[in-house]
Amino acid sequence: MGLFDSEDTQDRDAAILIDINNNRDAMRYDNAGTREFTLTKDGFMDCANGWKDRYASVYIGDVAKDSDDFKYPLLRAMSDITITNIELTLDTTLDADGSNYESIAFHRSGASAALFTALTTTAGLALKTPSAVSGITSAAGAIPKDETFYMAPTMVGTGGILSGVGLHITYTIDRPEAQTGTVTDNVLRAKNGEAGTDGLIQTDHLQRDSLQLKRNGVEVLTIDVDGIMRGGCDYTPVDLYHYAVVNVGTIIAADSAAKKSAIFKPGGTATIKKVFFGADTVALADSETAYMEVIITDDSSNRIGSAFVHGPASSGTALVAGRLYDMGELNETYATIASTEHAQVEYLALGSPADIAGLTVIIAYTYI
Amino acid sequence: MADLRLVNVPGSGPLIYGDQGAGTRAAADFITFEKNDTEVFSVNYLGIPDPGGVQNTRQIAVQVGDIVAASDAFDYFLFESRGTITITKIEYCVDTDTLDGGTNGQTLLISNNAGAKIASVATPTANPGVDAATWTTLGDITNEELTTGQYCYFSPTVVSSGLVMSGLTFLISYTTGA
Repeated sequence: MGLFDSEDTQDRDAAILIDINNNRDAMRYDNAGTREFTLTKDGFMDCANGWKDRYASVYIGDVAKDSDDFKYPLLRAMSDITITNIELTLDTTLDADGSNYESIAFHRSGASAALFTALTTTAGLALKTPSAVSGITSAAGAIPKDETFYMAPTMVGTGGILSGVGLHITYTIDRPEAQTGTVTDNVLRAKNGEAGTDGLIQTDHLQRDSLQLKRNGVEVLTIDVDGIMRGGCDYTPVDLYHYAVVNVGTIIAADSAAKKSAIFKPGGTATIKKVFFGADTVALADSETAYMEVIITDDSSNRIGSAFVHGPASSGTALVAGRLYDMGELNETYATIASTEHAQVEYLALGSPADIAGLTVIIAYTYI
Repeated sequence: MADLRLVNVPGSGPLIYGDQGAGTRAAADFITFEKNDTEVFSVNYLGIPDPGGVQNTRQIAVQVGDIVAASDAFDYFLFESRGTITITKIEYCVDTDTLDGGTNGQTLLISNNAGAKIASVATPTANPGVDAATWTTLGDITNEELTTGQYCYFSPTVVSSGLVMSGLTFLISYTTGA
């Protein structure tokens, strides 16, 4: 038997109720003295293992020799994140060229300096073989909430054509707030050698929730009787957000009412909480007669959210290259997507708008 | 009322702390939540959460872009794992109806970094070959585990004269391990 075991007890409250009004964590688990898991007061599961890793693979297409004008938006999140690894790939081998090549730097929108050591293509790149970006540290890779992580290539000499560029990013969602104080100050504590093979913390019920975690009396996380994690009414733990990141390519006027770019199909019922969008080239909101509406829909073309690009001046979004913008309030009626449905992008042109170059869409969602 | 109720407890450390160490508990869960004697949520001895429903499954959407008809020369890296993961499902989708796939098509093969097949499917012999905005599974998954530093990539192969695929997107579902 473990440290705590609750089986078939009767009540409507969760079997375990934790309400924290200070800075301490709810739970911590070490393995032979090394921290492996922490459940913070914010309902955040801070893991030392692969659970913490998130991936985004963004294909930006071909990068021209004269690449300086392009900035490719890659990632924006609902909370602070940290970039931990980046691999760059091509779909066609690039020969070595020490004179004419591309220098590929990564930035965040809130700072002008490059974050890591620029990746150069001087030695050539073999197709589908990943090339790692060096110099990535937890400090350099920190991307605050509301900022965009983007890539900016620079031509050296006459540059080099990069075919089918893929950027493969590993990132972690940052813990909202650090715990301070001694690890050994606990209410329940078990260390080394207790007998038994049951879970250290164990519950078994037919109806009542297993765990409810509150902060200052406000629910932040519940693990229900089916083992499903959910946030509170007013707060969702930041690690319960998932992100689908897709570069849908360059959108032209002829794509209007024709192209449908599927973004994601959830494994279970999911709710879209936020949509970010951006492009690799500037798009002004300066035309009253020629602009494009970018529409997020479900697979029945029900509108979830939309934004205008290239105009009109009153309601269009002026895009800076390499930035991701909040699409704004979403239509909650259709923002919940069942596992049999998907979310997609559709396009509607007024007049003959200019292209939207390298349109990138990020959907932030949670499972129900 | 809760069986274990910890409310506004002063102090600074984790309210509940466990350290397995060695011995009989070395591989025991830290947390086990059951429903009628069936585990529905756990945090195992490695500190890995395993929630209920689909919450232990994550997805990566990778749009590799437009595939030309004569596609054999191109290979597309999909993603590299930074820990141990298990791929559970792969689906694909295009953003525009393809041409008639009755004669011409593509075989979509996803392999791991050692070149071993993970999944493969041929585009349907139909007209259009692939419908826009419709997800299609690549079928059974083999060599499903990727460990740190291992990656997977996509190789199209022409069937007859091939089939242009616009905005080809893969959706890879996986679960996490250590």
